[in-house]
Amino acid sequence: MAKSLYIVIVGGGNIGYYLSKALLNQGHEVLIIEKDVRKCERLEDELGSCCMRGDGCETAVLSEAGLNRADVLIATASQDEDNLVSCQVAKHRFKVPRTIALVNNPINDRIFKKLGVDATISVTNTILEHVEQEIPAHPLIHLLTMSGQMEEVVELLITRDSPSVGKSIGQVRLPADTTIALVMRENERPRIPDASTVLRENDRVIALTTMDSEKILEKLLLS
Amino acid sequence: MDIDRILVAARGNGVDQVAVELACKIGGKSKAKIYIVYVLEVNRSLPVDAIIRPDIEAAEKVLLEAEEYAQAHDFEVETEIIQARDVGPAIIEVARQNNVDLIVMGMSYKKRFGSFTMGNAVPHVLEEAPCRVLICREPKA
Repeated sequence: MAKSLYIVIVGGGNIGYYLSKALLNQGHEVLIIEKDVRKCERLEDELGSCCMRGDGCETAVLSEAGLNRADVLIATASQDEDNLVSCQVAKHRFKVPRTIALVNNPINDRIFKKLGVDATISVTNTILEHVEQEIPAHPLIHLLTMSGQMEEVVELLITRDSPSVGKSIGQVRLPADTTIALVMRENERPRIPDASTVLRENDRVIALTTMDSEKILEKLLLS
Repeated sequence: MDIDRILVAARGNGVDQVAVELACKIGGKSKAKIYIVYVLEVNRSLPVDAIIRPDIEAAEKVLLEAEEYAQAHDFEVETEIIQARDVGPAIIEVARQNNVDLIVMGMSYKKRFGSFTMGNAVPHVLEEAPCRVLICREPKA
């Protein structure tokens, strides 16, 4: 088995509960920090002595939880503000090597990453990505978000109305942080494009971009 | 009421000796086997299996005295130091594992914010124990 980690989970709701259960089964040491006394009791009944009552945003509580030796902190509270504070305190006060936060409002995803949270999980964005992938006609599909960074890999479908049809990649003024990595055409092998590659209708373009530049890229290539 | 196995939960609080004496008296007729367990509560800033030398030595001393007393009265004794995050659940676990008929616990007289308190471990054991529980409170100072 891999090395056993000490994992602190802030929030003992459904996500915290099932996550702890899975991590305990994997042989890790887990502690849940939960404000609600009844939830704490339920967790202790189900999982044993792995729950501490307290506010996971408070330094004193996190200190008592032994965050100084924690390998990972996972913030799963229902309020994004709480999750951000827990991760920030863990990262900067206790030097926890890895912080992971649940992001309820997708707008906050970017802020969390900018403020140093190592990984964010946005349920809304995850569902949205699946919806995009399930709808073939959708012109922009998120394929991958780089862990802990602002970069992402997207797929764009060039349609007849796209302003980039008939233009070479060199003519499209891509943002500096964006690269077109691959162009896929029906009945052709995918190719790594250069500045002279001309985009055609029905081309599928794989691009590496950032969250900030995604909209500009979409506008340049699609509409 | 047959009592063949008694668990004494030592706490290092000065009532342990009385708890062992009580266990010996209750188990005298049936010559019950006595398990004496000392649960060391380990702070979460340390791994649960951390070696906390002074605490372990103190626990060993308590267990040694208790064991000597029980053996002097001709009882079969088993002692153990357990490191856990919480005392209560650890005592319950040992009670279940050894299928004991009675748990004897000593508790000190404590007040918190002016009110009498039993702490966390005693209420947990009273609530969760699968067997009879006898609590021995030390006299008021």
